[in-house]
Amino acid sequence: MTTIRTVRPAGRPAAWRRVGGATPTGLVFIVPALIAFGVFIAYPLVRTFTLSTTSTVGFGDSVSVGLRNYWLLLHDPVFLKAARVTAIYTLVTTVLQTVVPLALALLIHAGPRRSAIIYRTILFVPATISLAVTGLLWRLGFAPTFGPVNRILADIGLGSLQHPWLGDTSTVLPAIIVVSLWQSTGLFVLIFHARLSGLDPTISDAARIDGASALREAWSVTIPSIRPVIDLVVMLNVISGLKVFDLNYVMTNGGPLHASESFSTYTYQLTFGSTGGGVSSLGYGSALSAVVFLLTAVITIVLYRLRRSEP
Amino acid sequence: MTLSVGPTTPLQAAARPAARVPRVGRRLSGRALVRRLLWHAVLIGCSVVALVPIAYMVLTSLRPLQGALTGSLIPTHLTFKAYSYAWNTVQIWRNVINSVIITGSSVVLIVMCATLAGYAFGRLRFTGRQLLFAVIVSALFLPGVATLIPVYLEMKQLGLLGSRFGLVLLYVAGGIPLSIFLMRTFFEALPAELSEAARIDGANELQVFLRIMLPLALPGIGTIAILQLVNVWNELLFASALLSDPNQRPLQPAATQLIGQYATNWPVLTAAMTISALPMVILYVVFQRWFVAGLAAGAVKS
Repeated sequence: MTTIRTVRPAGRPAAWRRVGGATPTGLVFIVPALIAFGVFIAYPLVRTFTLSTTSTVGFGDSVSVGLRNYWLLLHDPVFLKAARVTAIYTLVTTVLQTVVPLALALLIHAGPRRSAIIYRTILFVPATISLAVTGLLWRLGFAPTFGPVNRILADIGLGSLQHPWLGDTSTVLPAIIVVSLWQSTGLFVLIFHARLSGLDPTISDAARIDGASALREAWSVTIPSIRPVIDLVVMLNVISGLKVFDLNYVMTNGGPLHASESFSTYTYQLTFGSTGGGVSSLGYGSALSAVVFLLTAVITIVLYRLRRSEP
Repeated sequence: MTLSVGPTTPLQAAARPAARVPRVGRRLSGRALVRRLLWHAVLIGCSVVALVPIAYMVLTSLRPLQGALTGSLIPTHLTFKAYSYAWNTVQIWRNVINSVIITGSSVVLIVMCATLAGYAFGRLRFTGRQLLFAVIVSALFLPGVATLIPVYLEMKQLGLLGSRFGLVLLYVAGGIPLSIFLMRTFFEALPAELSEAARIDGANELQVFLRIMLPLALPGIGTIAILQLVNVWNELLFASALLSDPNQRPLQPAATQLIGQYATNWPVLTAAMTISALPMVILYVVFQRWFVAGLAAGAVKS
């Protein structure tokens, strides 16, 4: 019974479970996932590129037009507008939705743990509400006459600041960005705070003994040690900024005058709506999709490389 | 493309017990007390900002149908009329059922596909393992709009356009990259000795998976189930694009559509919004620990 000897499963060669050897079972296990991935992600993505070289008016026949759709895109004022809006939105939300949650997480972390968890939990509640409902809620909130934002301004004697927030091309994007910040702050506070709670407290104690102020300690000790999580949050913000759809679709449908039109809402309008510059072409929409994909891929890879190259 | 989150993943960080021992019973000096009060004041202020809009939504939904726009911001008289109107007249119950069916079946299928694949990627060796994993996980960064038009055409060709089943299949495909990524991490963390011992006892791969590894991976399964539940329940783009019949639509596009018809009937509108949002808020309150662990680890997709 106690003799040690090489045991192998009956009837199977030893190589079957040797590291590096091929286990057919492995492939069998991933077949369902592969089929779903191939049919609804990989194949459609390839088809976005093939469709983008055709002109398909409505949902009818298509003719090959080469790269003409891409050339048209570069001269499409709405596309250029959407590119600007998406870029500004992504940049501003990434900065705000990293800095504000980080500051809040550091603040929360500085207090007693039990209260900290309670505040973290409360701040997270908006993040459980879908972006669609968030958008609807704030569309009511910013409504010109009856919206609570304007009514509260009037009630506290700031009636002169009343404004059609979503109806003005200069305030619509800031308004949507504020809503995005309101909705997502809790999620990022949670991510930052979870990491902060895992830090070794003796390091911060050492900094304190050396006479570092709270701000100095946060800047020189705490922030560098949670750098990987900050990078992760930046990356998440960039990705969700580039594909923003729900908030501006629900709040303004890209308006007024395309002032809140993003890549995603413009693609949706081109395909299913009637307001997108008068063009209704699947090929044209696919070219736009292809550009969005390539931009996202390049930016993601660059960010990923930057992260890796850091010490 | 894998996402390494530094020395510890947020999941491990979230799962780790408190590093700081709460200092109970220690009296604060005068200056520290002021600082503590200021700390509470700032965070109470932030909590108010987070909660007041949601409270406003719920309160508006409890107003009488008439005069909801002009009355005081805080209602004096509460009624459930808007809910019975939204439920029976707008027939939002159909969208509730659609959301439950679509979300439920998507989550079950995602869990099945992702557990199998996550196990294979984490614990088995086969040719093309690394490459296939990298390809599938890279879809995490794919913006939905990049495949919108071909998916629409494909659904049309398959006869699945306007079908809830078609949407479920799409959600399964969309949910597996994140779920496989997380399940692989869970399976990799399990001790190898257990499966080795079972294999030596003559168990085949399926038996090892079902009897030994799957029960141990239940916390991981809970995490991906809850993450996908939220993602699928809240999805708007593809649900709007693929299902145009209001009877087939889940809650998010249905609620969004109501604003056209009920632009000035805020109690009905906010009742529909509350019905759409409430299940996820309750879920969060009940399953908070899994939520926190899951979101900290898998916030990747949001």
